[in-house]
Parts: sequence; structure tokens; C-alpha cells
Amino acid sequence: MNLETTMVKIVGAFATSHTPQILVQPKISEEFTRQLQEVHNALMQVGRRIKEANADTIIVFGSDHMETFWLNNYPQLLLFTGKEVGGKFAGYELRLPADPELSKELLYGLIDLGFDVSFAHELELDHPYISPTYWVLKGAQHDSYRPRMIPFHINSNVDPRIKPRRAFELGKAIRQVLDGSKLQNRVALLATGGLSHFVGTPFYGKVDVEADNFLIEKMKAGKGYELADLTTDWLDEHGEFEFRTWLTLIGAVNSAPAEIITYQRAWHAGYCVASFKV
Amino acid sequence: MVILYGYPDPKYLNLYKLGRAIHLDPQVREKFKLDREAVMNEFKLSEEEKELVRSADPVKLFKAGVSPYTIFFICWEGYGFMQKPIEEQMMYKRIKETQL
Repeated sequence: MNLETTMVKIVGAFATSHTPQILVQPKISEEFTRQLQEVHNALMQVGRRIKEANADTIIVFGSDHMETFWLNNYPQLLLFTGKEVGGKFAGYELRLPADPELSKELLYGLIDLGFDVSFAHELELDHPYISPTYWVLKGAQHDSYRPRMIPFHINSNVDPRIKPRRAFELGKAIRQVLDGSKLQNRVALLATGGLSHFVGTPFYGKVDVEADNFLIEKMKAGKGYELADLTTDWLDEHGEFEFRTWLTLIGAVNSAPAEIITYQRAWHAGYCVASFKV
Repeated sequence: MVILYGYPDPKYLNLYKLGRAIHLDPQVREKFKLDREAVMNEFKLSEEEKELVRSADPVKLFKAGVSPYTIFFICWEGYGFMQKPIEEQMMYKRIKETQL
């Protein structure tokens, strides 16, 4: 690759949990309220970093839970290609400009590389996007800084789901398309989901801290590529099924080492906000 | 093989529709709290589905094969579990894995 021809530049890469509680903020214990505050502070720090990096566009890798998408057509991979991003959750309405030029280039480029990605010009987003970006935009002082946003759905929650290795390879392909683009664009990446939790199952309330630490240590060491070998079974067994979105990001940043901004072992989830050294 | 977030069995399609509506539509959510039977009839739930909803039992719903997200929408959002004390929400402390 000739770096001089690369016009799209990745100026930041981050990953975060996306639970509904991040925005709903149920007042059920002082400890949980304190932990959520730590997560909010970390997400606002992500927002400040994105603003300082002067990112034009944030590509958000998220995963739907039969909210945005329905059983009349449930996609494995779907790229938002419209002009405006929108959605409502917990009394908050997200409205941001999107980036149809870049998303169209990604769509065509990914299909050329063998990823048959669906697309949509219109979506109603839910908590996987809105819970964390509410705080990210707050940190970035949303009113004075209006980044564009491209949501990218990676099915992690409704079986059958994309394989972990495929999620990682998708990230590498996204990077290849971005590196080959002639568009003038500063891009930040944000993956949402995880870490260990068991929502809606009889294991709800269990948090596999050991599994979280395993993932965190690999990411900190710049060995995220090793995590592409994890299996669907392993991810479900340890409550790490949403780590697929993180794997896509890890692929896109060539397994760059991660800095953990915060990790909070809350009563129902391992909350983690990470920044990757791009 | 440990798959917790399995394939959504089509026999519960109307139950999934109800769960999604509880999540997305505040009016359905409120009506569900006030008159569950009317809402279940509106969504054409089968008797089996109605019994599952009436149970308000996430473990029972899970064992029947209902999607965990529908369970969350119905129990945590519809029945309001999300605002309950943490100990009451922690399913895994209340059951033994051998019960599954």
C-alpha cells in the first residue's frame, strides 16, 4: 500500500459496552450508580478524544436485538447508507447526519472483497447505538461538533450469527476499503457490546470476570488477532457473544494495542470502555 | 454445545411481536401493565404463550425456547424487573444450573 495515496485516515478507535442501563440509569444501588458514572465519564472521554482528533465520521459497529430489525428480514451484516441517522431510546432521540458517500464506497468495496453486506437508507436505531453514543456525543459537545455517523450491524445476538473469525476478517476488509479510498475523510471507529453478560437468560447476573480479563489482556498486548479463533460456543458460554463487534474493530485496526479507559464489574455485566492505539 | 442466544422458534412469532411492541411502544408497555389479558388477545397469543407470559418467570420462558431478548422485553420492561432490587434480578443466584 502506498500511504501517500491514502486519503481516508483512521484517527481513533474505541470499543464500549452498550447496555440499556447506561441510558436508563435505574436507581437500584449506590454502587451501580457509581459504576455507571464511571462508564459515563469514560464514554465522554471517548467523545472528547474523537473531537480532538477532528473526526468527520464515526463508523459504529453494533448488533441489533430484534429491535431495529425484525423477523421479516433479519440481516447478518447491514451497513447504513442513508443521509441521516436516527432513533429513540429511553426518552432520548438521536439525530445525526450520516455519510452516504463513504458508506456507498464501503458497501461496494466490501462486496468486491466477498462480504455480501445488506444496506439500508433508513433505520430506527435502538440502545446498541444510542446508549453509548448519547454519552460520547455529550463528551464531544454535540451542539458545537456534529460528526457524521455510519451504523454497521454485525449480528451477534440472534442465531445463527456471524462467526467470530468472519467478524475479524470483515474488519480487515473494511480497513482495506478505507485504505484504498480517495475520499478525504477522517474516520473514528466505535464498537459496541459486551463484555460478559447473560441478559434474558437464567444466568442473568453472572459476570465472567475471568473471560473479560482474558480478552482485555490479549487486546492490551496487541494480540487481538488471536481472539478471532474463539468459537460461537465459547462466546455464549462466557457471555461474550457481543465481542463480535469488537473483533471487527480489532481487524480494522490491525490488532493495535488497547488501553482500557475503564472496566467496571457491575452486578449484571462487565462494563468496559477501551481505546485502541491507531 | 452452549448456545444461549438461539434460533427464534417461529411458533412464538406472536410472542416476539408482543415483546418488541412492549420495548418500542410506550402505549403498549403501559397497557400491558394495566390489562395484560387484553394486550395478549390483541397480539393473538396462543394459550401456551399466554401461560408463559402470565408466569412472569424468565427461567420458564427460557426453558420453553423463547428468545432471551423477548424475555427481557416482557419481564424486565413489561413487568418492570429492571427497577427491582438487584438480588431479585439476578436469575442465576435463584436457580441451580441442574434445573435447566
